[in-house]
Amino acid sequence: MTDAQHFEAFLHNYQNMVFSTAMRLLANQSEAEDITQEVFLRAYERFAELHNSPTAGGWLKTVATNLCLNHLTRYRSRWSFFSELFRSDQSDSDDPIEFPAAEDTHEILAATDRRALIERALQSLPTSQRVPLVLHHFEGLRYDEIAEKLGVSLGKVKTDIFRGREALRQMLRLTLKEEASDNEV
Amino acid sequence: MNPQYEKQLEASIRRELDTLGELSAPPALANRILREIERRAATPWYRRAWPNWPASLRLASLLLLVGAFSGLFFGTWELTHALSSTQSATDWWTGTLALWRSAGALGRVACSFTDYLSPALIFTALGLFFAACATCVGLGSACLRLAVRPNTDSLSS
Repeated sequence: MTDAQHFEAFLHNYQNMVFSTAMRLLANQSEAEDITQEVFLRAYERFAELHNSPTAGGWLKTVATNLCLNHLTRYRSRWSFFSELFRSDQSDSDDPIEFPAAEDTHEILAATDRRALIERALQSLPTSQRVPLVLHHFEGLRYDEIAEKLGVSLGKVKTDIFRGREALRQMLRLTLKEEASDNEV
Repeated sequence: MNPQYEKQLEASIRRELDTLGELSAPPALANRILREIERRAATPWYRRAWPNWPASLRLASLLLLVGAFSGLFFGTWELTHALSSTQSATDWWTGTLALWRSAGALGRVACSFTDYLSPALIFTALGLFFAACATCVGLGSACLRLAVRPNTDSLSS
């Protein structure tokens, strides 16, 4: 196998993981693709080290996370902007969250696409809630690590994660309720 | 926030999120990345960022720049030394020589820079340089006129 073939295999092995990380943090497919590309271009430059490294996956995930956070900071205004935008005294219920109607929900669930539904619910969260939630649940970061990474207070991280979970719960419960009512009919 | 409720909520959301696997990357993404790698590999070294130059060229450019700056500093030192020494013909010759060396060192630095910069950047820099010179001349003229103009206040009073 040539180096190019090795890298292609490496790319195919890890592309879903990197893309998932970027997609969940950014909630935007084209931006997630750009970040994934950048991660693998960096990996290519260090492929000699990464090729047989058992920590290659961790390295890729860390680079993807950092690039996404940089992207959010640089290209989508400052993190503090988002923090201020969704302050504690503002009700999350005011945010219009697109969610499938009852009959759509039934069809989607019938098609065993519940995971896609959860993904959609996750992506519909505001950035200030989604990012810490994803970092905690998918990247396994502690609250204090998230606060440090995002440059916000620990209290803010806790509040945002709680609100994110609460919003997810409301969205998912609503779906299930409607599905149940559909079944009853 | 009720801690008990918070724990239940966390457990419930974790259960939901744990069911999620990896998302599938778009099928065209791998090809796009490979094409970009090929495109970058085909880019000549002088069009890439300095950290991406071949190691030998990076070393050579470093040595060149160190040499150029050493020459510049040495030339400046020689020139200063020559100007502060006696006024004899030999010293004059040494001064001229130092001046010549400084000019040569500056020329080498300029050449080394022009080798690495694109013509558009060089012309832009030259344009900016001449614009800056023109601004200096203009401002200097205005200041001179202001400085030597007759005192109209005293004339009018």
